[in-house]
Amino acid sequence: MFRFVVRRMLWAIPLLILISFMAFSAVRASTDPVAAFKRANPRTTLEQLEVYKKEKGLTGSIPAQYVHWVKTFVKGDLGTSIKTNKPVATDLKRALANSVTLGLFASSFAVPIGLGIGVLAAKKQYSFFDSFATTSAFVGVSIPPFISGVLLKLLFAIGFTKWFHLDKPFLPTAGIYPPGHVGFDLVLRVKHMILPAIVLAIQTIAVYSRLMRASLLEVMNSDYMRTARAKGISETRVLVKHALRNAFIPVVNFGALDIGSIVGGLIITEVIFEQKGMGNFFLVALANGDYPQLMPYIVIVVISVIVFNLLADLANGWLDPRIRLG
Amino acid sequence: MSNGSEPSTPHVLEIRDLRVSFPTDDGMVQAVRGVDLDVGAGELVGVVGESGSGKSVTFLAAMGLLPKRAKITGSVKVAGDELVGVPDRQMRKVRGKKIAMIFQDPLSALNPVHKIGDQVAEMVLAHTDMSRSNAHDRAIDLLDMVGIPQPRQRAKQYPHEFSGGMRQRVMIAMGVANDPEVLIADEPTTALDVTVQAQILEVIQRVQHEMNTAVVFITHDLGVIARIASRVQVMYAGRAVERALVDDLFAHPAHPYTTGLLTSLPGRVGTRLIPITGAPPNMLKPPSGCAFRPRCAHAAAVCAEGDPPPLRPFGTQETACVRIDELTQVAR
Amino acid sequence: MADILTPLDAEPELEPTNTDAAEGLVGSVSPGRMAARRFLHHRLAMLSLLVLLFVAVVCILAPLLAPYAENQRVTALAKPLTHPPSQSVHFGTDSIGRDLFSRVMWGGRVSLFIGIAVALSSSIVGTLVGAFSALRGGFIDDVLMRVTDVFIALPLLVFLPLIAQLPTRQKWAASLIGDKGSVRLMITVLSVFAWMPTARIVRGVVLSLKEKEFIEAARAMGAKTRRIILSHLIPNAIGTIVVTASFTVAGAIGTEATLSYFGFGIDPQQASWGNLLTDSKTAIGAGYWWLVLFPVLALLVTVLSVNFLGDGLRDAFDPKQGKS
Repeated sequence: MFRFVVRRMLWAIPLLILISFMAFSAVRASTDPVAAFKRANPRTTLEQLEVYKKEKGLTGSIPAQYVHWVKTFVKGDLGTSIKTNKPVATDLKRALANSVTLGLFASSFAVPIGLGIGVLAAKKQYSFFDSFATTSAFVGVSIPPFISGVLLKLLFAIGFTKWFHLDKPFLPTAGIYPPGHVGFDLVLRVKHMILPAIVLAIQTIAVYSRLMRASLLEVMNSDYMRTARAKGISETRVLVKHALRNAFIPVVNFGALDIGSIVGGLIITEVIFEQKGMGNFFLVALANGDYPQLMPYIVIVVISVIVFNLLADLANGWLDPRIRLG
Repeated sequence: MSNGSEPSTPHVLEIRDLRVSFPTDDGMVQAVRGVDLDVGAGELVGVVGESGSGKSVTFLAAMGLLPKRAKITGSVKVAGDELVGVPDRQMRKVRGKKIAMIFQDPLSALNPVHKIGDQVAEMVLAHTDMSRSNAHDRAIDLLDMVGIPQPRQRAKQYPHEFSGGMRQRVMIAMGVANDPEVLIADEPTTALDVTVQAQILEVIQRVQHEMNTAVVFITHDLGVIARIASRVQVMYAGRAVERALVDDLFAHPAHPYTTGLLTSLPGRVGTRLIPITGAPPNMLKPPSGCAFRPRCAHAAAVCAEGDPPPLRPFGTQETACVRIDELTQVAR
Repeated sequence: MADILTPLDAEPELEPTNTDAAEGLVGSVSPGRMAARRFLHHRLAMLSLLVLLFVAVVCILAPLLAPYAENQRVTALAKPLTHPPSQSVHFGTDSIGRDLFSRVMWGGRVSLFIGIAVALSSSIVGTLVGAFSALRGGFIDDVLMRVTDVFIALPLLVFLPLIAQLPTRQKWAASLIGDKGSVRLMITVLSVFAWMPTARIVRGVVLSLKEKEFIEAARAMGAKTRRIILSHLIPNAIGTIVVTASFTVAGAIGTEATLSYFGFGIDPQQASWGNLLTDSKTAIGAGYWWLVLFPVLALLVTVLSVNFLGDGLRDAFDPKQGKS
């Protein structure tokens, strides 16, 4: 097991370097920090520009620039935003916190519900519940979150208010707190998370229930299930120790990657419901050509992709001995 | 009912008029249409037939391992206890304890994520009050008994780390873990190399003799039957068509189907292979009378009449062929 | 979470692995219920097909059918220019007085075109990569599959906008894959991230076919590898490819809409269902619900229909009965 872990980790490092370099190049190629800097500071002279360029390591070949950037990043210096002149680190931290909060909040109920539905649907295959669950899941997965998000927002911002003659929307559709609110208020915070969480939950429940159901069905049709029953052990034990134990493998595999993607921000939902998370952060930075904000974001995303990929791999290896030793 | 094939001890397995049918899209499939069988302690009976003959379904039904929608009627008694119609909770106490089953493909039949030792121990724990560690020790003893070298180390390994033959030994170890009265072996050697086959057969026979277990050996391979069985039951289209002592069967088969099986075996150099023409019948609407009729060279009008013919004594054998007297007259 | 462009995973094949007991019987229920389920499924797919055809025809014939041109201001309208739906303007008008009904049609043309184009190109690329990888095997297969995995793991909405920006800064890119905001760029960019599932699936199919006897037989007759692929493997895999392609259409339409909504997609001068929604935030704020509702509905109906159709195709192509 140990050797497996080490082997996998060794793969991760060159992968990390490669992908971050690719991302770096993509960002450098797609944005012009010098132009952005000029836009933000219209009165800089050419000399000041040159100094700026040298300082930020924007001269020289792409690989050299990459190395320079890595050095500063590793030291913990994330630079300051071109647009706002505020240090990137503070904004980034807050954005990350918001995204993680929303993502975990939604996952905390959506994943168990999805799994539960999947297990039930598999156990009662062909029942009405199963047909209903399967079709619903299919619909849930088919609707891009963008559409469900906008529809929900429309419904709650305008629809319900009009039809029920409310003076303000039944559920908030924007922001993480009402405008002008300061400090921490649990109820308000949660209220503002409900709609975006629902949008996320639709997708999550649909995906996890399909996956769990498919996986469990495949397992239940395996020969070793028949052997397990032939032993005369209790149905619960058969389900838990034999069926679920095997069925969970692809689910965990998927889940690790899925949870990891939260770090990148749930871009669509965040933008539609103005949740000021990582997704929002990224889009604003991109629109502004704000290179110092973009790069740390990209790197964090890449790191999390690789780390969670690694975690998924490791989980796979731990759960499935065939992978570990084969 | 059975004559020359009387075992000397009381039967541990008694099957009477077992019928099994399944609902499908196109109607009810009659997989088993009235099967009888008696097996005594320490006896090894072979059950031979093609795919679709119902040979496996019969015993899966006996074990209660068929899906809920299967309709099962008739009687299956193991050491005097009736199994048909028994609720699952009760059946679980019997399964793995009084009657056990091992299956064809040991790789897919073993859970890939559990250690071998744990899987065998699970069988023990399910039916005894032993502590975990005792059950584990017993598992190691069982692995040793079936001929697995270094059982203590190998118990910590996983199925895919074993060869096919070793895996089947493990299955046998699991099967006999609780000293069952009856062991059903469903084509245990079909998926194995010929050389490994011989080893597995030897293990099964050892179990049969040392533990006095009744063994039902299901296969389509007559060659295997010749080596280890004392009696044989030949099945076709959900019914038994012949039952005899092994030597009798091979020397003078009492049913055209059996004859067909024997002549389609590769025999001595120079003999021709004569396959049986045609295909097994559609079990949705089995033909009236003898199901083998469409493929039988000796079919006559009388073969199509009435219910499928039961086994009748014929010398020291039993056969379902209604024309057997005439046919043997002709042959002689 | 949940990637938009990834086509829905194929349901695993429910192979009966036990012996005679289960031949064709695993998962069978009362005949009546099975037939009812399949009929319903087909009805949904049929309905979707009709809906899709209707939408497609209307949108493709926009030059003939649309009451107004794409950016034409509806004349004879009182100020303010934004009007809710009425008899003359079925879907209402937007902030500069353009007829939404027409624009939805024009937009549909673009969105549908993009969807189909992406599905086509990604299917071709994916099939080639998958087949090549499976046939070559060994190290090349490993590398290609690792690359595929990485691509799949990358957050789409991070890299897509990045690449969408590329042509503004790098002139060489613009001539190769199209200008920023152009349809060509959108198709290229989406295709780059859409081929992987097809590659994976095709590779799986090819690997399983590779073992089948008739390939051995063909090879024994001396056929060259390429011939073998073309004449044997592709026809067998075509069903799966078509199904995956149809899901890709839905995914592409959805992703294009999302990107355009964020402003990284099609240039606003040319309507697409996505960029019709770019100002939805202000529209909702001002209460102009029609500006949001109709494009969203158009998207919803189309995407769902394509997906249902794909599901129906999957059932149709699968020879095995009793697939749930």
